[in-house]
Amino acid sequence: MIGGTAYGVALNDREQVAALGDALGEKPYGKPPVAPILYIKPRNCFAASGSAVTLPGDVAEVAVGATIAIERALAGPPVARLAIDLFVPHASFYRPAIAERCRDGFLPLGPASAPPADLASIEIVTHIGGAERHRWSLSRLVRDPAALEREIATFMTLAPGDLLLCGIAGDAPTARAGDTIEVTAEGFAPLAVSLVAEQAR
Amino acid sequence: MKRVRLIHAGREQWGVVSSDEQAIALADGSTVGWDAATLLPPVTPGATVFALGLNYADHSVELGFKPPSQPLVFLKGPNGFVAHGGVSPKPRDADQMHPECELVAVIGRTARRVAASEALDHVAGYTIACDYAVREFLENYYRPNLRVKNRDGLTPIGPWIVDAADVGDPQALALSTTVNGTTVQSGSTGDMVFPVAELIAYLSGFMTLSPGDMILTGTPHGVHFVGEGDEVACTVERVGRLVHRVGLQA
Repeated sequence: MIGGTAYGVALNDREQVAALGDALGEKPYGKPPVAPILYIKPRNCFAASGSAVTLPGDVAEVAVGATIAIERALAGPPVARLAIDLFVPHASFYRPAIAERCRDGFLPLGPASAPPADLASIEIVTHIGGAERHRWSLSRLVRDPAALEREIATFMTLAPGDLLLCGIAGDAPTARAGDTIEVTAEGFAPLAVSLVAEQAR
Repeated sequence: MKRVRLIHAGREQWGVVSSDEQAIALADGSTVGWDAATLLPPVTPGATVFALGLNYADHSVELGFKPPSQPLVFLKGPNGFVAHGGVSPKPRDADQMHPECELVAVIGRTARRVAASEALDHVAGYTIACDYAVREFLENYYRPNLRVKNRDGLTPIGPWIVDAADVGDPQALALSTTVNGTTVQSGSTGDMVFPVAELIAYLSGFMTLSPGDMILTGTPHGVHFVGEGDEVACTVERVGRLVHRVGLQA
């Protein structure tokens, strides 16, 4: 289903950056970020809508980072997918968060569709256990998808099939084993997954 | 055996290098002369590529860090790879670009929660990478950040994958880098903070490793900035010699 590499962007939510405030000028960071802060969600993370994602025994809860993945086309405009960047909540952005972000099944992705015209301000809603738990708009992004692509292109080339998760809300809700998650946004088919506890070994 | 990926007769193929290193045998039984072959990076498309920071104590000290208490892992995309004999473009707006010679372990069998004592059974073979860093672009967010370590064309890799059985102990290999014939890095894989087996145990402890996945295991001391036109050779004992040239970003 996914033929490329999935890149995410950390600290691309203005509200999150504002909440961190002066901390970004202090150790260990020294100064606020200059370039987009990218990370990779490797292939073991990919999961389809409808999947049951296993929470490993050492993960009590996960953050549910509902977002839009922009998929690079071979030619012409990109397509987009709903995506859930699942990750173990972590306070520090100093070192790459591989053990936090790269667990098996931690990137559920919806089907591809043409991005709506209002993508830059689209609202993404997260339901957990049937109740609305989070709602945010891509208008909160520090860099919108077009700006991200422009700045990333100065040092690396996205290939056809590559995905760019355009940002994660700093106040993303958390979920636990047994929860069902559904993410919706106008113009996209809903993306639903369930979280299941790992069987005792 | 040494396995190369090449483009021949209009398609990507894997081949086996002859013992005299003069020819490559293809799956259909035909052969290609080494000098006539167009090599590709010996990377399986879609593979997850891990790299290690500060995995040699002497390099950590050189950069002003204490060796880490757990592996400092980052991931790389496929955009950086350059085959043996290729060109790595130095950015125009940076001069602090330095080569990092690394032993690369290639996963051969799926690994999930593998003990260190069993981990090397999951290694198909080894290759060499020159994992460039461009220090001007360092930022303290998910450091080392992708703008430093994941630039287009700044990860030469190859020339081949040598079967693990032909390499033996991966922690007893000399490795070095020369720039225009002058040695700028020299070390031993015996000085790794986290040896290959422990890295596989660590990574497979929280995620599944699949055939073709690669682990760039870090680099010893020696920070030397390169310039356009330099010829850089990374050598790992019992694995081979990876050569490329430094170009200039268009």
